[in-house]
Amino acid sequence: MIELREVRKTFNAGTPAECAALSGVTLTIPANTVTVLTGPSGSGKTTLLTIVGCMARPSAGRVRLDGREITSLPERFLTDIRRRRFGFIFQQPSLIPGLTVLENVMLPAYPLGERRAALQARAMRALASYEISAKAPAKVQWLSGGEAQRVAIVRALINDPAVVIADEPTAHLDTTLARRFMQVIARFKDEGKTVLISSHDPRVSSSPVVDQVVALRDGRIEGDGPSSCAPPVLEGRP
Amino acid sequence: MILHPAVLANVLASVITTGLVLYACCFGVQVLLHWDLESGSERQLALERRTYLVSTILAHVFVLQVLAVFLFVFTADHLTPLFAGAMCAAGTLNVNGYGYPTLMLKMATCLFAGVWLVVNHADSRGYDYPLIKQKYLLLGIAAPAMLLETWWELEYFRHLKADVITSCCGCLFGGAHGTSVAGDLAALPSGPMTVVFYATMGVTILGGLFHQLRRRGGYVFALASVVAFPVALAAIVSFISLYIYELPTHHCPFCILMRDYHYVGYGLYGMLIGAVVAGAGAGALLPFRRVPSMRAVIPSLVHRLTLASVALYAVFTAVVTWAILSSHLTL
Repeated sequence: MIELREVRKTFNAGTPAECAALSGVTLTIPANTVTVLTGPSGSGKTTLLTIVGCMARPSAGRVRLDGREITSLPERFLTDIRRRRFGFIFQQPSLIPGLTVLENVMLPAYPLGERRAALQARAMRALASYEISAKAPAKVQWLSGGEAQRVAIVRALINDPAVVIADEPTAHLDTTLARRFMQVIARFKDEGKTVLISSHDPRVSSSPVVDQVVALRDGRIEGDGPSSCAPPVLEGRP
Repeated sequence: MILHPAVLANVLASVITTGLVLYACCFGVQVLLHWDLESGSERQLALERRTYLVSTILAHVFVLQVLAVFLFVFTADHLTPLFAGAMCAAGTLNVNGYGYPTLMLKMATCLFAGVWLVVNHADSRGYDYPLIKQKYLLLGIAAPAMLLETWWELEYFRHLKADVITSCCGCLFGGAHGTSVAGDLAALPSGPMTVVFYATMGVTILGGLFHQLRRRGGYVFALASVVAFPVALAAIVSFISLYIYELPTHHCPFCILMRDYHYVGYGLYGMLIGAVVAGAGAGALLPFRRVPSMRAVIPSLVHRLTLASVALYAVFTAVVTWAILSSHLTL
């Protein structure tokens, strides 16, 4: 379970461009559920994902993962949590060009020190389960959009994370691929994973696999209070 | 002031170290007053972020502080030709009244810096900053000493006058009993001092091994390792130096730092500092071994520190014994 308590994130604090991306978000994401964060651009969805995924620290507030407070953890512990507990799927596949599909998938597991042969076998099994093992030796720059997305999914799962975080995963997918992606999400749920998706795509938020939809606006959960992200004040010249 | 590059390096190192320690102390006051890990306030999260920066700065600064004691002695040794009467660092440090007090303070802050690095290392291994308050409290205690050391060091270098006739190490460490601390150390009878030295080293090494094997007696070992340090220094002045120089009346603890003696002193003093820091560091961590986030960290760390301290004292004793046995001097 992921619990957020009064989480705030302010960028450019103390400057004229100060912007409160999140303003006191309190939210509970139960384990083994699919939660979708919706809202317009600038509502704080991605910022919230990065904080939950230990990629950024909040300006105030705390996040607990399975009862353990994680926002105060020193960086060395955060690295380990990111590596073992979270799988990330980004808007763009973000694969590393020049490397093969197999190498891209294996990359996040290298720091864990698993024997290469065992890791390679596991990566091949994972690629096979997403019907893309035939592309294992291919360079990623030659993949189609859908193939690249599936490789990114397999890479996110290589360390068997308990939580999968996806940021606008269907933004560049057509309807068929978006439907297939939601089938993958249903599969994650069946495997007992917790899924947190940020998306303003109605194909995602209206999917039957989704358990909870959280609407964000101006850094707050809608209905929680007034908007807080003031536009930057520009000092005028005489 | 003599604008020698080594002097400038010493002054720069001290000023930088003290300046950054004072900055860290200001931050430490905020930690001691406001640190509350249960709170998710903006101030608490800012303290958590800044403590990385401050700890990283201090870790580098204290490594410099440990090295600074050797640089200071090296500088004093290097400036010897400028002062009539000086034969080694002993004479240069005696040029004015600030030399030896500065060296003593440098030794003390060097040992403190070493122990602080050990505590900081343990703290960085805990997930909830378990030793953060103790770390900054230690810093607050040591900061005045570091400030005083920098002031004395500046005064020492400022009052280095090349027209001063100073005493050589033969006078300083060969004087009659009761005339000075150095003279008293040199006058310690070599026979009983040899027994005290080997007994102390034996107790320390065996105490460390006992602690390693039985996981008991950690505090006794830490105390023994701290006591062994001054005993070893006194032994160097009292009898070890005699065997190295192969002269029955030359007790100087600085000449062994010179090229003529293959800079063996740097190795000996380096081992002693490493041994006492590891031993004292192990003792400093023991009270926190039951803190939940330290339970998996401190036992293995104390184990490694104890082993390091025992090994360094053992190698020191072995080197000294070899120097005595291979010496042409018979007392």
